[in-house]
Amino acid sequence: MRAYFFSDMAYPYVPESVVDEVRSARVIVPSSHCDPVVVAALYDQYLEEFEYAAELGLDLALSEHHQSMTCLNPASPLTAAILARRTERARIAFVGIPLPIRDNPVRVAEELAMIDCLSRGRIIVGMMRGVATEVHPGNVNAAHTRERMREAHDLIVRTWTEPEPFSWEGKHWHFRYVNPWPRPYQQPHPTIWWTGAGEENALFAAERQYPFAVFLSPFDRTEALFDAYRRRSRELGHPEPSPERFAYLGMAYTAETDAQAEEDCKGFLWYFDRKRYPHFHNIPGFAAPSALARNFMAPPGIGQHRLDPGGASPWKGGFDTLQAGGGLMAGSPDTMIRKITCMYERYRMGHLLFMGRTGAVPTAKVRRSLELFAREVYPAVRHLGAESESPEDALPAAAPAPPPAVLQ
Amino acid sequence: MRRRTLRVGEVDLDLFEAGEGRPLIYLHGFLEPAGWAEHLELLARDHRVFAPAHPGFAGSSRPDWMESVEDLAYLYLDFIERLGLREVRVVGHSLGGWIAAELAVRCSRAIGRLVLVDAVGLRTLPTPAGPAGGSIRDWLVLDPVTVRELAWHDEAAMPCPLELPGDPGLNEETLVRLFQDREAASRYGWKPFFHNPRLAHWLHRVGCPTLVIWGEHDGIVPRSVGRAYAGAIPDARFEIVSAAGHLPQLERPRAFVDLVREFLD
Repeated sequence: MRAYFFSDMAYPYVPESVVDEVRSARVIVPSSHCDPVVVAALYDQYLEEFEYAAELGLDLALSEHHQSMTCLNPASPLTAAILARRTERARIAFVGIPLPIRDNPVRVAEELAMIDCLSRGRIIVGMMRGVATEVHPGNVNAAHTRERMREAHDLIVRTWTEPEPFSWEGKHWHFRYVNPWPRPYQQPHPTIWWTGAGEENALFAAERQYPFAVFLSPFDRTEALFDAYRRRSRELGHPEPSPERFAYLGMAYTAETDAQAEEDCKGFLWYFDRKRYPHFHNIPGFAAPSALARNFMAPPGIGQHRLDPGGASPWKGGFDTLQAGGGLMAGSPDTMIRKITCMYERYRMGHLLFMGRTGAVPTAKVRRSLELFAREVYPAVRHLGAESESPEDALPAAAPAPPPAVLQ
Repeated sequence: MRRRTLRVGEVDLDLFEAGEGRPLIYLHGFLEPAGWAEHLELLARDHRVFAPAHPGFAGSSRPDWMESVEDLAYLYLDFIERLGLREVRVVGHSLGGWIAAELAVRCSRAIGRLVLVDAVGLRTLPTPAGPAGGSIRDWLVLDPVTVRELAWHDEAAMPCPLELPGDPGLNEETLVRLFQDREAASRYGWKPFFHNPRLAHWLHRVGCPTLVIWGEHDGIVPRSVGRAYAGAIPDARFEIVSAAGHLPQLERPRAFVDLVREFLD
């Protein structure tokens, strides 16, 4: 099992009264409440946390949201490019790139190929439709997000793999000449993960034989999604998927004792304790009308975008609900080893992405948690699933190569 | 009133019709449910009224490729030809008004009289600041209380309620229908938001007498849009329905029908 430190790069300093007034943490929180001097300091802090995690031997995972105080990372390829130069061995996973709202998939392929070369093949490209709220900053018709996701995926993969210039005449994009310089370092193309919360994404990932990643999803739901992947994979006659095909992202926080961990990571609840304006989250066309209708009728619960007009939190039970549902693992190193092993036994996942910081938890505590995880927890869970690693699942070697002859 | 499905080109058009007399096509807007209502009943007293549901609305089918108001304009031109309608009167509200205007600039001979009611299709204001969207208010995203404030003059006096997602107590069937309608509307009008920047340059082609009707208190589509339609269409006049908002045909059906009748006679 590989472990990835994930940070949402939040801006947790907007007064609650402001969020209460606009009834949303996304799209319409006025940017006048974003202080660029604070942001500059936060970028230092967040990037240094990533770099420290990499020094400790962890891999890294990046978020991306737009017009959101929950995420100061609207241009995740920029962050990845910085980290590519500031780290040497860590894999840098995008989880992910919201394909439908990108104006130009060829540009996406170019940027990622560039970062793949900068990092010498260390990027993992998680492709996603993105959450519903992204259609507003992107101003993309929600009813087009599925088809744009598929078309962008097809175009990006072809951009990376086609050896000759080609043309593209799709529904949403048209190009007469596609011929990227540079092409990606990883061949035939950078590792692709498919991410999502719905079964259709699990099935698509299985059909393409991509690793499949889910985020902050409760135990039962995650198991159902991974089972759907395995079932579809079997139906198509593929070998039984190895753990490397599955990635789970949850919150994780390690401290000296269970009590300390629980106390310290109360600040993580900031992530959930925010207003979700139901009409941004349930934009017509993003899901089937029956699914949107059910959202408006469903009682609040774990993992749902709950949606009463006041905008309630999706994990309403708070800390205990999160712990019980697998959304948050907190504890001493021994407890964490037990919890992660238990989670592995349920999911058989080869990648644990852990949100190890969000909200206003002090950076010293985040760093201490990373140290404890890397030194005491990771070595005890690293072997999980590793015995079944198959060659096609292996990521490329991270060590820098000597300069090619042409440069000598 | 009878409801039937009529094959028009590649579309199975869901159609409500009633009455005898000169043909009148009513093209519905995005906030009113497609179907039959009091103002249509009143118009059907001396017209043969056709009220189609735009493909995708009211649970009707929509060919995958059909995603623009231009497509809808050609669909209703096909419809007029398919039924051999002459001197047809076209009344369009909101989204339906935009479709009617696009239809009229494409084939000015096809229609005898045109009525645009709180129609979208043009953008007139500088885009306002604030969370409510552009010059045409973002009714897809605003909460039901705000939508009603913008859409109605006096909700308490409304003869029929307007159901909106987020209203307490709606049943699943109603919510599904609302989201079907909204998805269809999004497909036709997401970007640019319910207008065609080129339409104003072609409105001189509307060759028939035209009446532009606006609810006095329409907070969804600015009155300046109505003025712009009336100013750009050669033979047009502009009328205000007092004590009404975005949906004067629902809020004051008799006053609305009196205005339309007087113009059509």
